Amino acid sequence: MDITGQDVAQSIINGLCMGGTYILIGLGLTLILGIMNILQFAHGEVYMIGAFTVYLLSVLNGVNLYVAVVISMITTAILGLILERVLLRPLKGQFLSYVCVTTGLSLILQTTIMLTFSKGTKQLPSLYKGSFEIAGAYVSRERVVAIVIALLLTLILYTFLKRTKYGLAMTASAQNREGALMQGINPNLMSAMVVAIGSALAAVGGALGGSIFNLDPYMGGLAFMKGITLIVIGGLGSIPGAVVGGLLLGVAESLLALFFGAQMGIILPLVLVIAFLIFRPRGLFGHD
Amino acid sequence: MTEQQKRLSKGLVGVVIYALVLALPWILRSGLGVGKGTYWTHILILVGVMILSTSSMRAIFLTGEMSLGTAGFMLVGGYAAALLSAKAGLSPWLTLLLGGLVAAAVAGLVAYPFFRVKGIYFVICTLLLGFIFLYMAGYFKGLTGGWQGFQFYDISPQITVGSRTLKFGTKTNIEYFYLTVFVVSICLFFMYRMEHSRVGMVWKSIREADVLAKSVGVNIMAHKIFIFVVACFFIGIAGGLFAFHVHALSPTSTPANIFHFFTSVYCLMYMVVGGANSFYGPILGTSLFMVLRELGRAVGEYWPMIAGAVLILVVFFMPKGLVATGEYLPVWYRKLRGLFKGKTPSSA
Amino acid sequence: MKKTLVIILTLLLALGLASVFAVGCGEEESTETTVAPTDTSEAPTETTEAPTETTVAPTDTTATGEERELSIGGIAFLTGPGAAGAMACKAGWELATAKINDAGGLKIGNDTYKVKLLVEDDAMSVDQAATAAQKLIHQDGVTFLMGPLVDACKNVIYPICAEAGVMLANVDTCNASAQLKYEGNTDLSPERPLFPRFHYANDEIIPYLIDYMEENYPDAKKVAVCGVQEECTVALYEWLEGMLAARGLERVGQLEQMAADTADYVPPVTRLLSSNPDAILVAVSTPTTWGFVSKASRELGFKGPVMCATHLDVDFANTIAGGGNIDMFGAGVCMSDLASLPPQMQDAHAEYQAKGYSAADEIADVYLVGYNGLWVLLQTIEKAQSVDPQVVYEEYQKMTEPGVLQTLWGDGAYVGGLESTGVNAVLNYPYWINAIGSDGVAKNVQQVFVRVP
Repeated sequence: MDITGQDVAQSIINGLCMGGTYILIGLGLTLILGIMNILQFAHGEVYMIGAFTVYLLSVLNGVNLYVAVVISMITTAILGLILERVLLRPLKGQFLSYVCVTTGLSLILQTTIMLTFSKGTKQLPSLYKGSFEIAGAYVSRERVVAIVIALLLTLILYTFLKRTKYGLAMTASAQNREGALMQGINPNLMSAMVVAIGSALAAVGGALGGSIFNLDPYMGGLAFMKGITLIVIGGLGSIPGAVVGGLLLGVAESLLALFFGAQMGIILPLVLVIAFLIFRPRGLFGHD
Repeated sequence: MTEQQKRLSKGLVGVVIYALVLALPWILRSGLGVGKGTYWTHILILVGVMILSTSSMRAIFLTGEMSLGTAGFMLVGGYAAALLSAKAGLSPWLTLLLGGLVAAAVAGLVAYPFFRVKGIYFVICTLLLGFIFLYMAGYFKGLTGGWQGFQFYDISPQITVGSRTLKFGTKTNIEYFYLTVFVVSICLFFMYRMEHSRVGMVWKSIREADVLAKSVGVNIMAHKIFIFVVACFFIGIAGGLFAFHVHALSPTSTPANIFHFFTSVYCLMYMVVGGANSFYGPILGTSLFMVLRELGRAVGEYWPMIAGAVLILVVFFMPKGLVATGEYLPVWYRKLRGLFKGKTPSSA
Repeated sequence: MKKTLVIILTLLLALGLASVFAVGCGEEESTETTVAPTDTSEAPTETTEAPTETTVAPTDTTATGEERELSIGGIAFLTGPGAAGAMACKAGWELATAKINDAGGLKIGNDTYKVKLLVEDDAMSVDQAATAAQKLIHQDGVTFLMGPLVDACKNVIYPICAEAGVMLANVDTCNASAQLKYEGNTDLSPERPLFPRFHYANDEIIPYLIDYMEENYPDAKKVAVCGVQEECTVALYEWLEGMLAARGLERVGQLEQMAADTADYVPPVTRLLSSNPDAILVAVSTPTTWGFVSKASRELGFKGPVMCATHLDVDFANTIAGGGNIDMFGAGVCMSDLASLPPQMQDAHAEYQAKGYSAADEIADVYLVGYNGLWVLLQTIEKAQSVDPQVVYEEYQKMTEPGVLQTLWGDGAYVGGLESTGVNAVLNYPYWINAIGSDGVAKNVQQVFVRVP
């Protein structure tokens, strides 16, 4: 088989587009990890619930797709707030308990969704059908929409973190928890905010993923894995890191799949991540 | 009661329970009939396999690190044992051991780099490693048979004395049950001895205060690597035991596959629900959960939800797990009584 | 103190092992005696039944005999991803059961047997499949088992069934027939008695798909092949080279295998298209695979047909990939074009709706496949006039007369396969090709009689 430059260009474009949906789940994970220092195992399920909420509204009840996405963001943000208040806050800093509670929660959410919606594979309406051609490479329109939305949301989040009082407080407590506490920043408020924002972003990711691929109650597991992969590459807790990590992961997967086949496109990024964790635990953009 | 009498009674209870376990297949056969007995013996074998995995997982946790790669190492052990027997023609007795050794060797390779990170980062490493093993088994399908799985019905451990052959792995499952009990007991015995020796104390000191342990001259890295490798050896053996019982392995990425990440989550659940601080916790948790699950086949779809809810409830209300039920009951009783009397529990 | 305990424990263990060894060795020497009790425990019930029959018969010759129950087991992945397909298959089994029971049950001799269906979950996993089989066979006492829908699980369950003398009926599609030799082939063979097949294998229907392609897409000469990552896909890929060459066509490119957790089909399809094919064949597929290979190939500018050999509803595959694809065809029945199908199938569909199964769970023709499988099995049992799996299996092998069995897909079914698989236990029956043409409308375009010599 000859792989031409054309194919490589095509794959890079595909990869960049894919990165868009990865970024959105990664952002939530990285924020929660940075500020609360816990790995939210149920984050993939929040992503899945976001997608199913959009499905419930737009496919089953005929609400406009973009309105449905906004409602879904609000719903998952509220879910995030409840989750933080009821499950995470009472467990002050016990590492094993966090792992147990979030994995237990992910099992519960998966089963709930599976039992609520019938078991068939589902599909959200396409964001924008078809593809267009640039210099011989084909670009899928819906993927372009996905990456534009993802980058836009990242930009908004970044501005929020750098320009507003709450955003700065959040960045501060991510960088130095004790210091932030001494400045009178309420860590509980920060935690609640970060889980809510992260969950809302994951919901958008789920909606984009659900319209490009399809929906099933187990989709969160794979998304979660992509999420950890990209935040490790980008640097845990770093927002620019998550963006670059997401795009890099998308391109890496696409190119590796082109050269070594679909399965290696999945395995090799995982090996890469373990290498990153071991040799450069702070990732590309993280700080010690 | 003196200390010695306490120990004696404890030991006697242990012996009685052990004898009961040994008699279980026969009790089941006479109580439920031959067919149902056979089926339940099959379940008991799987329980045994999972007890070994869960206890090994807990052994790693003794140093304070959580491995979610349990299912992955079971896969390595299981495939190594099965492939060495089926393709290289080695005796299953040998490959059962070799499966464990291969898993331990793999663990040894990754242990040093993995233990350079701690806490959640170590969890991520092991979690991803489990996935890598699963996908690899699917990828090298020339060797492993890929998704479609790998079957080897005619290979079972057997003993030949003169003209007599005892095959472990027949229709009744009884022989294999005893083999499982035998192997699992030996492994558990080793783990128990390690935990209650000086080395076990060192592990606990690492978990409680690693900086302090280091300052008194404990080589933390060496201890962590040692326990990780040993535990993965046992997990590999569990994988081999599973392989020679079911006689088929497959790396499908469905959550129910025993080699999938979810098995690691279930192991974690068995361990925490049973009681992560007690040696008997994983044994209790695994037996209880797996038997209940089988009894409740009718609610099969709801199972993950029930299990998840139980896990969360236990973390919140019984952090020491089910083994400590005795401690919790009086507390709850006092609280309840306090509620009815309108007083706070402390004043009651 | 501790030492004594350890000694006691070791002694106990040794005792236990010794007793097993003694029992086990005894078993080897006197296999018959230990196996016999289980057999005799069943046998007496039969012998006690037989007298009752004979005692009833003389007193009342016109009597309808006794009403009994025949337990038939089914194993499918009722939980986990893709469970919808198995749920649909289970619905089909339930429909066939209801149909027979509503008509009064199976008449065998003077007795009437009501069918009792027991379905267990294998979650697509080998250990759960083994557990389910152990439960159905040993606890529930089924003597007929309808096969799991996944190849890996078939291979695990077959030995358990064979040991217990239970028939394992392969109701769903078989990915590659016994003609393609590879390790882990799940098709029937002379070494596997009591293992009939009620469906086609993918390599048995591919020639008909190629016929259809030559007829409707005469310019298509170069065919690229992809499929899910399994050994059978590789076997099919190798077989296709010679098979296509013999027809003056060419197999191009390398085999693209869709991995278990592939979500993004664009990279593998990019590879597939780099060999400039005129048509794509998905040799072994899931609905998602076919749908998304079509979607990705269109997004990458591919214009030729995308065909699929696994039985799937083309409309369903198209819908789950977002809809709007054209030039797809493959083996399967398209439920949105029900009017063109035989009356049996329309009746089955009416029954499905009447029983209140949700439309959302109607995964293409999967429930029809399940329905058809159990229906054929029950017809065979009734024709054999016995509930003994061995007798039923022997009777099934003798059904070589066209039209002896009825199927949902159409008339004229018979049993064949002696020449190609070495055992006469493959159902030959008319099946369908469904397609979405260039107009974007899903239709059942052609009936093809899949003959296995």
